[in-house]
Amino acid sequence: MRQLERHFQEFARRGEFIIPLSFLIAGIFFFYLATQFPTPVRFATAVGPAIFPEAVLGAIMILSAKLIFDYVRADNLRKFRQFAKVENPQNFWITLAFMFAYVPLLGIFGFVVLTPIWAGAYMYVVGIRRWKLLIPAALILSALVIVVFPVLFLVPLPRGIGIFRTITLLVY
Amino acid sequence: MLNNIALGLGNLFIPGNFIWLIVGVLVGLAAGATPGISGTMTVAILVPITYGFSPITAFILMTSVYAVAVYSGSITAVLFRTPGAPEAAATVLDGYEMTKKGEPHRALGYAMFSSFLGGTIGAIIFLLVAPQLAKVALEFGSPEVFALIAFTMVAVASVNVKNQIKALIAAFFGLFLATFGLDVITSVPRYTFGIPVLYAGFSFIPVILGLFGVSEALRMMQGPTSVGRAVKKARTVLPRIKEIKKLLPTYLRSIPIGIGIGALPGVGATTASFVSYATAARVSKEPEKFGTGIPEGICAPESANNAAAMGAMVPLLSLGIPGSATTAVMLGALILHGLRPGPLLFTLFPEFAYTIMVAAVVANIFIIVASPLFIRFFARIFQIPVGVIGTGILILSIVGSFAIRNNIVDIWIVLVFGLVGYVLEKHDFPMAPIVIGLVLGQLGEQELRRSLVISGGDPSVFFVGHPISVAFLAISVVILLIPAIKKLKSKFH
Repeated sequence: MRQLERHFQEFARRGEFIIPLSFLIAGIFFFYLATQFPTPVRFATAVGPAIFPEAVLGAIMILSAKLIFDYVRADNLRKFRQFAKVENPQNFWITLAFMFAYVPLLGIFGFVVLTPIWAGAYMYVVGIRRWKLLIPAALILSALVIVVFPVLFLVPLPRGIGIFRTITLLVY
Repeated sequence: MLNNIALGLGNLFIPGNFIWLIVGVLVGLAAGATPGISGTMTVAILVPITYGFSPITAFILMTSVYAVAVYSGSITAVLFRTPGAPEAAATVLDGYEMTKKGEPHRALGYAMFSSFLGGTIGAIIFLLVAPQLAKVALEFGSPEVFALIAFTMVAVASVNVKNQIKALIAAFFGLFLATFGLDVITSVPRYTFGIPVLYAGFSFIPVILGLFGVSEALRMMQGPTSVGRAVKKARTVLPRIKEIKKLLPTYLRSIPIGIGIGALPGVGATTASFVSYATAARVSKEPEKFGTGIPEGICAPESANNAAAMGAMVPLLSLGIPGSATTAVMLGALILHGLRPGPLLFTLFPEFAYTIMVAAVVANIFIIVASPLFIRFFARIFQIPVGVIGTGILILSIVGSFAIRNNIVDIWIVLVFGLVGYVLEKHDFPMAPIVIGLVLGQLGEQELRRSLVISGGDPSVFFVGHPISVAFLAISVVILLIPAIKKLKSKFH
């Protein structure tokens, strides 16, 4: 875990370089795409659909290049070491994993079945071990959302497939 | 105008609306007082929830949450040295020192009374000035609107930021996000990658919920699992008349500062509170006492931030320009409800505009009624573990995004922007310019291109015969050049 934390700290520190570099690379890519936008004939002499994104991306590229230049020129990694200190990185990764796993699982299990289990499991792994708090909290949170969204405002939250769909249909 | 105010009052006191105002006050108190849940985030979460409401009811709720959350951030600032909202950051300096002296009840009382006074006066000025400003705004053509948006972007990326270049990148990133989807003038698809939902561009709400909600949940999960110790005997004691008289000069200075700064597009209440605190310290005969727990150090930022929050509503309703991150979210909500904020709002929908303004006044009055009770209750519920709060934020953000278009893609968008927001904020890229860029980008591009189409591509359309446009662009250039000028000055010295 310590090694994971060290890697994370290192990545976070280098973010001062990686983030502007990402902006620069993405800027070049999207700028190229903008040059490929077709301009309808009647707009050919005026201002086409590419000019605004090109101007905005141009500005992003120039400013990102300036940040990269500052980082390289500064030559003092110590200056950047103070940034982005991350506490508890394992919780960060757990949260990310839970967040991104939720979406594909939602399609299978549906909101009613998945959310209380997901919320309970998530709260457990981030440190809530009191069952008397965890179970009611997971159930109440899910119930509140179900009452507000699908029941009151008729938002068709995913119902899942197979038996899970049948279970959901009992609720909304 | 009196007729319209009466109309607004009548609307507000319909039971169905008034209950939502009270709910808004309570939600605002709870949200603002809970570290990690900002007024901006709460209003963002409320947007999809209130989608099924009538626009008037929805905005009564959102306005009252907004008005009260700015105040309630001071409760935790005073008691725990943890501002519940960024607007209360300056209140920590003297509020917590007063608590350390064993007088939390007095500190809470000063914060509460100052917020009530600043917010109520700010809201009344908003009620009186916004329609007049709307008349002036009717004179705005495409070049003026574009110049105003350019000024907004520059202002928001230049004030109260740690790194101006990063703030400018954030602003341009927001503008770039606004270019996704069908081009508003030629209908050419841009960056849609064949994904049908992207033809409509990025919806504001998933992006906003991601940047503010999910990223905050990610941050919260790294902290301790409990917010902190409870304040079991917290109560509030209002300042006496004699004390208020002594504080009058501070209020007379801070409230106008708050309203003025709040009305500037994109600047916001946090800046107002710090400017007001600094001004109070600068003009004081005993500046060395600031930071030691004196009433002026609480009253100056607290009256200014609430006044600024109301001031920020002026450009929102009358010009369609948000004065802060929260009002940027509200701008998105207005558009979602099919309302186009701007000068015509007052002539086409006076019932809506005046009801919202009256609600702002009443919500501020409710601060002084509801918060003593809330502080007592708050002391008991404050022990909810962060894990539960974070899980709630995640679920609400995910469901809130899905509810907008009933599309799974929006859930991916909220999660990706949550991660993006977390990483960017960790490296001092501010979130407000991204949101304001996204919200204003499409309008800005439309007005820029419309101006150029009208002039046959001649950029002098922004200067010749358009003094307002010239003024906004000139101020923007000056703001952009200030850091460079300061750098040059320091080199010469």
